[in-house]
Formats: sequence, C-alpha cells, structure tokens
Amino acid sequence: MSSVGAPLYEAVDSGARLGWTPTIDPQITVYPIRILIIDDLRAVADAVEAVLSRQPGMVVVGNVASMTDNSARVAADIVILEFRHGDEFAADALRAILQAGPTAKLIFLTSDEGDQVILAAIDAGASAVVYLSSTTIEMIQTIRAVADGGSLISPRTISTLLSGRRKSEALRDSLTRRETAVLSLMSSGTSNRNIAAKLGISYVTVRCHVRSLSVKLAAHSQLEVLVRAQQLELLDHDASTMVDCA
Amino acid sequence: MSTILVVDDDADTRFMLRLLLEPAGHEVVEAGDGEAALNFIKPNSLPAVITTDLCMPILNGEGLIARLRSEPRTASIPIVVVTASPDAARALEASDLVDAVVIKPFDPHVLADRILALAGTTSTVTPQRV
Repeated sequence: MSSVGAPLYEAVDSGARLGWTPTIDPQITVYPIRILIIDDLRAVADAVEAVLSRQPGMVVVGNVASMTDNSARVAADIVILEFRHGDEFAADALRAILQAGPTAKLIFLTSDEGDQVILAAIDAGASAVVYLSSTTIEMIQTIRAVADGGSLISPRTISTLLSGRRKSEALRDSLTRRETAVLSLMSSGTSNRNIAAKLGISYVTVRCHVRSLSVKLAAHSQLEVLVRAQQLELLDHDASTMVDCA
Repeated sequence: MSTILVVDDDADTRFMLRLLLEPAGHEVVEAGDGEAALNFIKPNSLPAVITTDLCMPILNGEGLIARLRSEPRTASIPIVVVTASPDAARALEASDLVDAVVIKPFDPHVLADRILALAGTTSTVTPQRV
C-alpha cells in the first residue's frame, strides 16, 4: 500500500469526509491512493474505474468526462487524464491539478506513442504517460510508482526531447516568412507555378525559395523537404496565416 | 492462462477490453486489422477466443472470419463479432460462422462476459490483484 503524498491533516480530513478508515500503523497513517479519472470516452473510463477500484490501496474518487463536471472537484492524489493530440490538454491538465489539490500528480492516458505526447506531458507537469497499449499490470504499477513520488519520464528523455524541440524551434526561426509560406503551400500539394501565382511572385523566385529550404533542412528533393519539415513539426501553423504574412 | 485476440482498429476499444479481460486471468493480444490478426496466429499459439470488429482497414472482419473458418487449424476458434450494423449481425448469426454477435453501442461488461464465457471463464467479477 502506498502512502499518500498529501499532508496528513488534509488526508485525515478528506478521508474522514469520505468515510474511509485509515490503516492503523504505529509509525504512519496510510490512506488509499485517491484517483480521479477524466476521460470523455465513458466506456474506457468505466473500465479503468472497474479495474482500479478493485485494487488494494486504491480508491476512485471521481470519474468524469471533463473538468467542467462539478463532481471533478474532489481531492485526489492521482489524476488520470485522457490525452488526445490537439486537445486543450495544458488547460485541462492545469485545471485538473488545481482542482484535485496541490499535491495531486498527473498521469496522461493516450493512444499516441509519439514524442509530442511526452513533450505535452512534460509541459503539463505530468509524472507519467500510460499508453493504451499498456497492460493492466503496467497501468497499476505506474499509478503506484507515481503515488510513491516517482516520475516515469526519465530526466534523460526529458533532456533529449527538449533539446530536439529547441533545435526544431531554432530551425523554424531561421526560415523567412516567404519560405514559410512556400513550405505551407508545398505541404498542401500546390505546384510551384500555382505557389508563384498565389503569392504573386515569379516561378523562378519560388524555385529559389525551395532551394533555400532544401539547404536549411538538409534535404535533397522537394519531397524530402516536406518529410523533414514534417519531422521537425514545421507544418503545424495555420496555412492561411503563413500566406498572409508573406 | 489462455490468450484472447482482440481485433479492432480503435485503440480505445482494445484498451477497454484488455482492462476487462486481463483481470480474469487471460493474456490479451491486440491487432488493429484482420491481416495483423492473421499474422499473430501461429501454428503453436492459437488464441482461445477471437473478438473482432467488422469495419477495419486492410482486411475487414468478414474477410478475417472467412480466412479463419477456411483453415482447419483455426476453423474451430470461437469468434465474437462486434458490429454497428444490425443487418450484418443478423446475417452473421444466420451464417453460423461466429459464436456470438454484439451490436454497438454495447455494454462493455456484457461483451467481456460473452468473451469470457467462450474462453471458459464465467465472470469478470473476480479481480486479479496486482
């Protein structure tokens, strides 16, 4: 059984309110790990609750579709937040942590096994990421480890990913507005002649920008430019904005 | 411990079934389409039960079922089908090719219990403590 990270007086208070009886120990008072599940896919959330509520030393104190649900306002030690790329995850995560209490720890639940999820988790201050491909045992062990104060995102991973993001940001900053606009139109499948027409520049100038992009992205073809840009996440911006700012 | 093969292109559904089936003591193996499911099935590692969606990329559920039933070594593996189409459900039930059909939206526990019954486990109620 894991000890709760919250100060003892808070744990006693919320434990008594919810009718839990603490394990009597001459040295410490131990309460179950209080878990709040936030997932708009109710069938998945219910399955997670069904498993966790049967584990010794764990209690599910909330199971909600979103943080706007008033029942999410419950003290918790662990918040399991389903993450989908493109969600307003940071805002949701922040709300989840604030509402669950200052000592709550966040675990992302996601099907996306890409680096962006780890970066999002780091940004949100999450302690671990549980993938939907994980086994039940792995999920439970992760929750216990995080409740015990561990972080399952290693400092090395954090360092590597942040370093990669800095490089990507530096490269993005090195592109001119016109190169960015050309890149955006290339990514939508626009031909060089149509790019020239759309941007009101000559075909030769477009070729010039494409060559410059190739050099900056260390690519040997237009296709490779797009692949590198995708890898470096340079194509996330709104295309219309890019064209307008050209 | 027997193995249950969950075939569905939706990761959420696979995860949900894993959570419901693993505590009953089964190993759950996942495949995102019918072709991946066939690749998993080796001569010496037949799953106790296969649950499959119908609408999937590469090789859909009907294709998977046809391939499984045409092979002597996989012909008798119990199959549970999950489908959103009542017409497809009726056709499959009439065909006698599958052992159970569950129509979406479904109660996950009902589906899990159908699968577990075919795997020789009666209920998901008994938890495996970790």
